[in-house]
Amino acid sequence: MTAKAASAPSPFVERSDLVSWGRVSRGVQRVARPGFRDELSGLPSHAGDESLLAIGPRRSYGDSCLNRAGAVVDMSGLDRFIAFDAATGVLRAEAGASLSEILRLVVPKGWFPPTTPGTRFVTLGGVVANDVHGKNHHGAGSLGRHVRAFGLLRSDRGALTVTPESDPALFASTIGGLGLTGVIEWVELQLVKIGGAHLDVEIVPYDNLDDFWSLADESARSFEHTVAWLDCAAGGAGTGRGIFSRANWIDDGAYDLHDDKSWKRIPLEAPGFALNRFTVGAFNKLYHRVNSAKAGTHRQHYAPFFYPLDAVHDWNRLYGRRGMLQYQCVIPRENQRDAIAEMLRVIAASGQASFLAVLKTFGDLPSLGVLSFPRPGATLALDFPFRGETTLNLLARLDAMVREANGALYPAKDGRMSREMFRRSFPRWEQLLKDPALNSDFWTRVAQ
Amino acid sequence: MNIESERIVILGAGSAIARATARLWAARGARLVLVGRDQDRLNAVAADLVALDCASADAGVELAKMVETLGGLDILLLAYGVLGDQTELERDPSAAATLIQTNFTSAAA
Ligand SMILES: Cc1cc2nc3c(=O)[nH]c(=O)nc-3n(C[C@H](O)[C@H](O)[C@H](O)COP(=O)(O)OP(=O)(O)OC[C@H]3O[C@@H](n4cnc5c(N)ncnc54)[C@H](O)[C@@H]3O)c2cc1C
Repeated sequence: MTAKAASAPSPFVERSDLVSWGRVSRGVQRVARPGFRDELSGLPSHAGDESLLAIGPRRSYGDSCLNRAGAVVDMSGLDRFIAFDAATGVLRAEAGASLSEILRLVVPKGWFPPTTPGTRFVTLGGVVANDVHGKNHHGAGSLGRHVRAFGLLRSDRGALTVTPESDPALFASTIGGLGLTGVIEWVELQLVKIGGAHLDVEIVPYDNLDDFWSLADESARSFEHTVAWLDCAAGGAGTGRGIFSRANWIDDGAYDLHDDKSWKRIPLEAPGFALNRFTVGAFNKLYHRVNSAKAGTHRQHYAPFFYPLDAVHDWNRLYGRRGMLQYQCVIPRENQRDAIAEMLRVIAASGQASFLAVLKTFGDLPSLGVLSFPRPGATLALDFPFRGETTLNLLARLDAMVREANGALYPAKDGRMSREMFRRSFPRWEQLLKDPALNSDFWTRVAQ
Repeated sequence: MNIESERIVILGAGSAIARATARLWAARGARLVLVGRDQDRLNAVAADLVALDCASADAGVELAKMVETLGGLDILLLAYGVLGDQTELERDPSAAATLIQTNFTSAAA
């Protein structure tokens, strides 16, 4: 530790309210929140022997954005734009910049992120570190394919500018690298051109999984965005029934922005019984009815289309104090039909049916990261209110099916996968060019 | 407040409050001059505002040139301040005097 660091007050504070999106893992976490990039290089000396991890607003559900054994660096204060070229759509911004802020800047100028997760309250650092995918995966691939460069601060090599050409191995390690290859200081992204802020959205209710697969195949050819919402309480012949949604951008020059202020708030953590089997089942039926009524094509703004859950701030608190576990897997194409059908049957029979289940096919464009999750096939994502052993046992059964089908689990959604499951999901994991000074609770659990 | 084309000087532009205010003003088309001690940080703040379309955010222009640059001045935001060490301030009157000068009189000096 340097003399200067020893005499200056520590930038780290202890907080016990820092949780990830699933709100299951609780405990004390040391946190620093720098306001300028020049503060980053001094943090390791303050942390002493403790490991560090850069984090965003913790929209990851499990423990990949926590480092309770060490300390975390909350990057949300480093959210400045560095440069934006409205002619080419190249944006460079600090890693703590949120998609929400980025949309405010770029949408009025006719640009949109190349792909986006289902929430805009994520940061550039976070979306790179999970190589996120969106509803346009079949045409655009995952986010890393659109990253032109990033600034990476490593404990062993200092500040680096990394491009796919300058250091292919470090680039591939950092895309989807779970924050373990260095602190991402800034990101340069190629945006895509849009002709307006609205989409033509077609809602197609369908009755069973076979219909889903046909819709997915047919829609991938003519629609830029596709996804399906499933009623997972439905079993038997109705297994997998749901609503297929497919959309294309509209070129009407209407570039209105989203609104981050008029949220409906969930005031407190809802009591645990708020989401029992009955309420979730009822919700699912209602949702099916409401959306069937809206079947057909309608014009929709990008905010309700891409970010429906963002309209309810802190919706994750609906699951009560015990929180929730999300489960997201990808099943390779050759096994997708059988495996997904079997998983959905088990889920329906368990009666632990989740509030949300999303099914989406991934296209063939390769993901660039050593630990990237997307691969050709189909991905299923569901929430489970956390009820201790009962929930863990069900998820272990699902794990076995995913393993059998040569699938993988998504670290961004995980707080409990086994080492074996991790290693099978990411067979190249040992190639990760990890920064020796960084660590996360997730990594300790699955890799050490 | 109609901030469009207002001419604004922000002293202590590196602080969080200044930054948030500057972003709001910049987004509405104000012309800003940023003043602070650390040139790199000011450049970072200025680049952010320029991206937000406030093409005339200048970092750290000499105080004397500011009014000239803007051709007048409408708002001056004083957004810096120093928190002293309370015990030292109670013991040492000159430390207290320095602090008071930094916080309350330096912008007018
Ligand atoms: C409602 C909802 C919908 C979602 N939908 C999708 C979806 O459709 N597709 C999808 O792929 N994901 C989805 N996600 C997951 C989410 O996109 C990822 O978890 C994302 O990484 C969260 O970003 P964050 O900024 O909150 O980062 P955090 O969750 O705080 O951190 C995520 C990872 O990034 C690392 N990290 C963050 N900042 C930095 C940095 N500056 N330098 C180095 N490492 C860093 C962290 O160490 C951690 O490993 C969804 C999440 C929610 C809550």
